[in-house]
Parts: sequence; structure tokens; C-alpha cells
Amino acid sequence: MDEAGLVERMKCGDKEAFGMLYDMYKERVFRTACLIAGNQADGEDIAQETFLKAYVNCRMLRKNESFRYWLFQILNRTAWNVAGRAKREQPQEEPYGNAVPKTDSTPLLTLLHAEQTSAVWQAVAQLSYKQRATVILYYYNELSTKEIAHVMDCMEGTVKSRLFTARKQLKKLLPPDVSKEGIYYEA
Amino acid sequence: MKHDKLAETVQTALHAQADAYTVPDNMKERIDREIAHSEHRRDSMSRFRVKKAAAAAAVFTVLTGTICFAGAKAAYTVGQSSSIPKYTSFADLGKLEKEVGVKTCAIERFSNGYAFDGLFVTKNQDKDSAGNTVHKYDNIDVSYKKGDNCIRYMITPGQRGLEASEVTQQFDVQGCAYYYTETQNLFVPPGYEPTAEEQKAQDEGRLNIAYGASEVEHKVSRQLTWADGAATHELFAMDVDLSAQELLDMALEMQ
Repeated sequence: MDEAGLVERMKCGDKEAFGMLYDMYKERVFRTACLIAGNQADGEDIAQETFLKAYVNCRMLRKNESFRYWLFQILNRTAWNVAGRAKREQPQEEPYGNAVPKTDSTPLLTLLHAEQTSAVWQAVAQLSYKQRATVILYYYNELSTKEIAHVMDCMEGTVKSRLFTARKQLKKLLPPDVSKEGIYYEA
Repeated sequence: MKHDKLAETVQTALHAQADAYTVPDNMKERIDREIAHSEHRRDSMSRFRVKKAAAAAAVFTVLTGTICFAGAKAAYTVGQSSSIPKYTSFADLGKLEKEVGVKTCAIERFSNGYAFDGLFVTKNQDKDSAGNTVHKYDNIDVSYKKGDNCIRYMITPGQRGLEASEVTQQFDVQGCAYYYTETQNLFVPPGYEPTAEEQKAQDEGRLNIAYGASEVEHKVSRQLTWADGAATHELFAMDVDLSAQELLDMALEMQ
């Protein structure tokens, strides 16, 4: 059954259809949530809440074909709330801690990639919430600026402007070898 | 997507970072639990109403002072509704009123902060003591939320019965009587054996025992009921700290 059909079944309270949609999106939603939140604990909360809200409010979705964007819309709003909550609370343990890439061909390449990932990751962490979410939706989820505008409930021009400012900021924050030459890819 | 060195670098780094996050095995289980919990909360309200109606019917024969509402011939009422709202926009209220055939006085927001959350329909069947259906009807449930607190405004066509013994407080405002009831509820799993004390409290009408919960939970419910010629209106709050006066103020705000 296609995605729109599963959404229709979910709207009728079919939990099996919800389970299939969950399997289709769990990794993408969970990882996006972790990237936006900057840590796994908040990412888990966001992803869990996103799926819960999607199930409970699925009748609000008018076009079943738009489920993917609607899901990301819920994720974005939930992440925004969690980010606001986190700001008011004590700093978390290791927010934006470094991840170690899983596979690489040589130890040197692994090390270089880890350093590069860390530098980019730290720079992304310094972006404002809206810029960070835009960057993640654009570069990680590969959504178009139009799709991001739909997800973030804003004008496409705003998305382009956020991307432009974010790129400018990242260039400033990243070492020149990372932002311009990308030498690690040449290794 | 703009493909330049920076884009490529950011993209690769984000993918590397994302790959390090693994979906927890028990995440789906937790989501399912949350869904079940939210459904249980809604079912609790329905179960409460069923048991309450049954308890009221049980004492009906021995008590004389019944409230003016007529038509309490049923031994108990079975209500069935979905945990998913039928409509989520307040603008659809008129449509639902036409479908159910009852006029509500629902408002979108109360001055104490409770705001519209969804429209539900409950399908009810009044049963006699032998379990035969004596009357079928639908009622509209309007859900309001304020933070985590939820209250329901329920509108049922016609006039529903209410026992005098249940009424904690009565208000008369501009010729209309408002009845406030406060009930101690014990939600218990199927097969639960009430203690002697609980049984005595239930027999005396001080406790409502509702079966079907996954664990034993004690909750206080508060309800304000009034009727006009065409319908019975109830404001219902389960485990929400609202006084009788606050519920009355909300009811009057709707007039």
C-alpha cells in the first residue's frame, strides 16, 4: 500500500498502518530531531512526541500525500518548544558532543573526517535555532527551500535568507581549510 | 541544492553526525504506551459516565427526591467514542450540531484560559436492567485544554436524569438551576476486588468504582449540569482543580 493509503488507514485508527509509517520515517525523524536538538536525549523526546502527535492529530491532515511535510512540521514545532524549554533549564550534558563517524577506509581518514565533522558540528551548534533547523532540513534532509518554507511555516524568501546568513556564519566559524578547500576529501 | 565545497562539507558532516544516532529499540513501545495512555484518559471519562449512570439507577428506587430532569428510565448507559476528534476546528461546530441534532452554547475560549481543543461525538445506548437497548442517541463532547488540564463540555439532546443524592451544591441563576457534583472515583483493573471499606463507600454513593483501567487510580471528578428545554449540558472535569464557582462562571460565560 502507498503512503497516502497508510495515512488514510491511520486516520481510521489503524495502528498497524501507523506502525508501518513509523518504520518508514523513524530513522529520518529521529536523526533530524537529534541534529536539531544537538543531543540524543532531547532528540528522543522530540521524535517520540512527533510520532505521538502525528497519530493523535492525523485527522487534521487534509492531504494524505503531504504526510511527510506535515510530519516534519510537527517535528519542527516540537523541537522549537524543546529548544525553548532547554534554554530555560540547566545546560545539558555534552550538548553538541562530537559523534564518531561509523565507517572510513583508513585510520588517518577516520581521524580527518572526525575532526572535520566536529568542526562543522560545533559551527552548526552556534547558529540560531531557525538557521540551524533550516541548514539541517536543507543539507541533511535535502528538502527544497519551498518545502522548508512549508515545514517552517514561513515565506520561501525567509528560508533563502536564513540559508544565506547561516552559510555566511558557517564560513566565518569554520577553519578556512574546511570551509573553502575541503582538504579532507582530497586525502 | 547549491553544490559547492561548503555545501558538500556541511552535508557530509551532518550525515556523519546523524549516522552516530541510533533509533532506540524501545521508542515505538514508548510511543504506543503514550497513545494507549491518552486513549485511556478519554475512555476513563466514558467509563465514569457509564458507571455513574448505573449507580444512579441502582439507588433510584429507594430515593424519592429526584431532581427535575425527567426520563431516567435506563438502568445504565453505554457510551462509545473515538479518541480522535471528529473535528479539530471550532468552525465545524455548526456542522456537528446539525449532524447530531442538538444546539450547543460552546464558545471557543473561556476567560480562565481554557481553549477549544476538539469536537467528539459519543454514541450512547440506554439499557434496561436486562441489557436491552431502550434508547439510542448521540451527544457532542467539546474538549477544552489549558496546559495539561482538560475539561469537557457535553451536550445531550433531551433531558437526562440526575439524582438529588449526587448533588453537592445547587445554584439558581436567572431561573435556571445548575447542579454541581463532586465524585471520588476509583479506576481499577478488571477483576479487582474492592475492599470492604471501598464497597461500603460505593454502596453509600461516596465512591464510584470504574472497571477497565490498567492500574488502580484514584481521581476526583467535578461536574456541573444544567438543562434547557431541548438539551442537557454538562461541564466535566476529571482530576482538574476547579471549584464549583469556577465551573459555574464558565457555564454562565457560555449563556
